Amino acid sequence: MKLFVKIPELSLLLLATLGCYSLAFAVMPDIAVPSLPMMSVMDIVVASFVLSFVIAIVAVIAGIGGGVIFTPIVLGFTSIDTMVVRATGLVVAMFSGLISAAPLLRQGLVDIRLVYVCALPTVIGGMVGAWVAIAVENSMGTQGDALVRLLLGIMLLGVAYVFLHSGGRNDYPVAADPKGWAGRLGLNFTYFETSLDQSIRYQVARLGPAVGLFLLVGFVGGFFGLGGGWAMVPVLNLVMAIPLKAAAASSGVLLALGNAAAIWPYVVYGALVPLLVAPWMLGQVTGGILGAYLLSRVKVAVVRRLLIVMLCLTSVKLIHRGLQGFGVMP
Amino acid sequence: MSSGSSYGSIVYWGTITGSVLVVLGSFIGLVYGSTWLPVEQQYELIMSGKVMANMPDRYNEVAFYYTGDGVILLGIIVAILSLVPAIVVTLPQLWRTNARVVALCGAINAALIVSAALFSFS
Repeated sequence: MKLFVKIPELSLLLLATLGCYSLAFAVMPDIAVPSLPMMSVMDIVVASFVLSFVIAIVAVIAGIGGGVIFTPIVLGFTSIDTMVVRATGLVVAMFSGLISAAPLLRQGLVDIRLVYVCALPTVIGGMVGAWVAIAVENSMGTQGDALVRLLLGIMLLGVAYVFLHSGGRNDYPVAADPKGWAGRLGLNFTYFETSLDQSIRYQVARLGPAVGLFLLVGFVGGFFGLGGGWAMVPVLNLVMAIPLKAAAASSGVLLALGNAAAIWPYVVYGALVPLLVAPWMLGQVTGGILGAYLLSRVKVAVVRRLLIVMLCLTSVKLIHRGLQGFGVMP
Repeated sequence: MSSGSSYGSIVYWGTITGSVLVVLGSFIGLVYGSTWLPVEQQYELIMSGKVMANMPDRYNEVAFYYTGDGVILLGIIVAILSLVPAIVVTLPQLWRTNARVVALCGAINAALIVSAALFSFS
């Protein structure tokens, strides 16, 4: 309850959303969607909001964008067009990052200089990824849909592998001597670690290889509508030697900025359907604020294990549907 | 106020403003039924996997922005584009503190976001 008093805008937004949906339930006739006879339009809207709210909490706690949860599940288990799913996935990936930027920057866990430098290749990669996605859709049609599902299924197995083997990461890498691009740009930062009651100093390392990796992460995020938070934390922590907590916090802020250019080609293509996106966006914003608050109270390892299982199951379903699309499987 | 805090505050309030517009758009669309296509027809198209790519022309019609869909889209655009003033506000401080290459990266990021939006809508 304290949280709702402390953040009045969260309470007002939640109240306004719930009020709007309650009124819509009362006013709108109980219209079923022919392709989903068990559900009415308002059932789908409310279910989307609740699911997005939960995904945002899990995504913020696990230090990933919500897109990596949303896009595979919806692509694997519904018939919604892949372009519509990917556009909505980018919104889901972005908005928890947008809303959690302020507290993380204020706490000093994220430094804006690091965000600007890493965002540049991510933005470029994301834009190219989105344009390639539209080109593939236009040239391959339904086979393009099957290809996206198949590739995403295979890639998700890789993401699950990254999660599984990222347990040995450096929580507090030793501050290296400033050298190379990172040294010249003065990318050395300090944040206060409350659990240790001391300041942690760190020097960014290997900026060159990281730029290449961020280009790739941006491309994959823009192409599949996944965002890319799942890959940003390993790059920031393992390649750039940024402490794990700062890496997880920076990834969310970076994700929001990195995907801001990739969304436009989808919008103009007509893949961003406002009424479908609205409950997902509102769920991300309200769940993102709550997730940032819960971050210090939940065991991240438990959430990550659940994610690994979910990613493996979803990847099997996606690969199956992809092969079905190519006529390889019944 | 540090450049990071300025950036965070502008993005935070931009996102909240965008969210309020999205709630308002949902209200107009779902409660008043003012949408570019009937709600149930839109959901049927979406759920049955029909591509909606034949619709982009609607963005060029002013009337679209008086419907629930238009107001929701405006809310999303406001939230995303709040990144641009947030970046611009931080640039002078970064420039003054000798983080000029970083400031340049920030400026290019902002320019790319605006260009991608303008290029896509043009």
